[in-house]
Amino acid sequence: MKKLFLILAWRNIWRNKKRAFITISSIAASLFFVLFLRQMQFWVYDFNIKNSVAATVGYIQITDSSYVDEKIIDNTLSSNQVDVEALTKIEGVKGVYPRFLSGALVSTGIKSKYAGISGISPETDNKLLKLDIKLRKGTLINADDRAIMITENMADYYQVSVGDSLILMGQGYHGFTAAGIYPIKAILNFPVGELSSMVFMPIKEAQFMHVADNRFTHVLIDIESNNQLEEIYSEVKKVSNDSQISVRTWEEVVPGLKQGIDMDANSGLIISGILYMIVGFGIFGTIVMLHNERKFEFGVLNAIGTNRFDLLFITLTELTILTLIGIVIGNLSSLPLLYYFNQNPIKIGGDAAQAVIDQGFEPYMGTGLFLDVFTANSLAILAIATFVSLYIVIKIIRINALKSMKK
Amino acid sequence: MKKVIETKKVNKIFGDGEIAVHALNDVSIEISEGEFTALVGPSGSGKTTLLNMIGGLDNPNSGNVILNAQDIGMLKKNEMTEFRQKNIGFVFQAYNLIPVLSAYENAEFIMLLQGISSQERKERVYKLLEEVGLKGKENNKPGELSGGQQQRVAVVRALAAKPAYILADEPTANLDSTATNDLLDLMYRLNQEENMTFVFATHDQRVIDRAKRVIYLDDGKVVKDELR
Repeated sequence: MKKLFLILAWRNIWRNKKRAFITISSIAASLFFVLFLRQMQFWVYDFNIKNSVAATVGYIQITDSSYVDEKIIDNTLSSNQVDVEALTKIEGVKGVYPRFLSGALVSTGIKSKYAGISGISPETDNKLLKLDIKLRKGTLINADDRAIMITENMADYYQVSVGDSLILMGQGYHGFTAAGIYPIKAILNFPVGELSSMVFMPIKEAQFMHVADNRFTHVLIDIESNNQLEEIYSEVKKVSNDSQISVRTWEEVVPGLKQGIDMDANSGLIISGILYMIVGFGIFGTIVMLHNERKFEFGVLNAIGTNRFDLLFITLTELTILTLIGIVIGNLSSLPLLYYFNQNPIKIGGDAAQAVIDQGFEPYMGTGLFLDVFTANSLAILAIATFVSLYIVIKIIRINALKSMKK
Repeated sequence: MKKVIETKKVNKIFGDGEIAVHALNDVSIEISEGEFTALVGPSGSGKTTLLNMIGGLDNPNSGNVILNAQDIGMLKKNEMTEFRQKNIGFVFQAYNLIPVLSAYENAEFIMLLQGISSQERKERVYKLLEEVGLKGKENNKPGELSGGQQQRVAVVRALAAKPAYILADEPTANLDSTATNDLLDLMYRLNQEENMTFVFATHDQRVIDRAKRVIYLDDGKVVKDELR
């Protein structure tokens, strides 16, 4: 019996080809735009989290618990407080990066300015910071070098280049003076964010300068995907089960960024909502027309013995197939464009770039291929179709064969 | 003979107050198995209303409709639908076939609802379609058939499910003389051979002439009941 109902539902779709085409097109077009918009938004977030957050604060950050409120050298971690090897073995962890972060007055000639000092492990950090890609002049520092790398912004400010030296002066562990004169070995391109005014030096040298041997300010944990954040966070907490140690996600370390992303995502949701409303009204229009066209037929079918639930099955199957065709076309048609911009992100230029930089993002625009964006938006349209289908559900539940057959 | 249809003092009023129309007024009739009955009367006499009551498509304001010893006023909406499916075959004036289904699929529709096996459906539908002269038209959609052919498919749809009786509302109204005669021949033959009960609501003199019993209605009342 159901087979004939399915045949009936399928053939009913094509009874009014123009209407079916308009309905399918409106679903597909709206889904296409929603997917493009949302995939672009989430790509920007992901790109910036990967390139900025992951490199500066880490997806997950381990510090001494006192460092959370007071970021001073005295509140650093001792290397034996963190089991780097155990952390590296956690599934989904791409890398564990001990860091020594401080600040110092950086000067040369008559120019001086406060800047961040980042003690890194050049070989391993290259993976996280993509130093070889960011390198603009000179060569990257080695773990045993007594040299620094600065950004293009700083080089422009101090009017220095590779081979010149900068004086660093700050405060070390337990009140010692942290000072040194360091040659510039490389100039890097970090145009935005915290890293744009950062001096990079080997971690051993940073510890030495700050008289803090074997101490870290924090340990960054890089992970495969932000989607695994909560899961890996729990595992890290298990490994670092010490009340003196604080384990935080990037969302806790930079709540402003998280709020910014949430707000931006919500604005995207409003635009999606408007498109969803268009889809909803489109499907609703189809349902109202369908009911008016077939009211008589429903009456006949009911009169000859088709119960209301079978009528509902036929009609809802028809609407579901119609919606699914629109969803499939919307998803498939968006794929080539999404894939292209995923592989070839656009670098934004001019004032627009500055506006993006001012918001703390890198001026790149691409599109993601996030499965959950495809599924969530497809399900949203299916849910809207289901909701507007309530109209015909009510009409069929209340069917009166005789009244329906009156022309 | 076994009574299959019985109405007891059935009243139906449409509207209320001054504009109320008494469509049926204390109508009591009995129809036995194998009768070939025509409900006759001028427009507004109540014949279609009575047919709708007998078919369980409408409810009386008072009185009882008893079909196969079952008072259908006691049935719930879904039970009534199932009762119609199992016991009543309808033939409408406008054929009312499903336009996207073929003649064969339309004809087997009620049997499908009844859960009859594919083999049995096939045998019955092919046999009936052949009997009504539609062999070779099984795969034609209603739009590809003439009015007379569509009405014959509608009759096959009603008959194939082997209902207790067939109710036909002006079944010949849209047919020419040849198609009307063919259809009446078919129904008459089924009545004679299968002892199937037919009730028509009609104006058509050709139908009235073939009826074995004619119930005349006027202003919602039975004014004459003629057995031939």
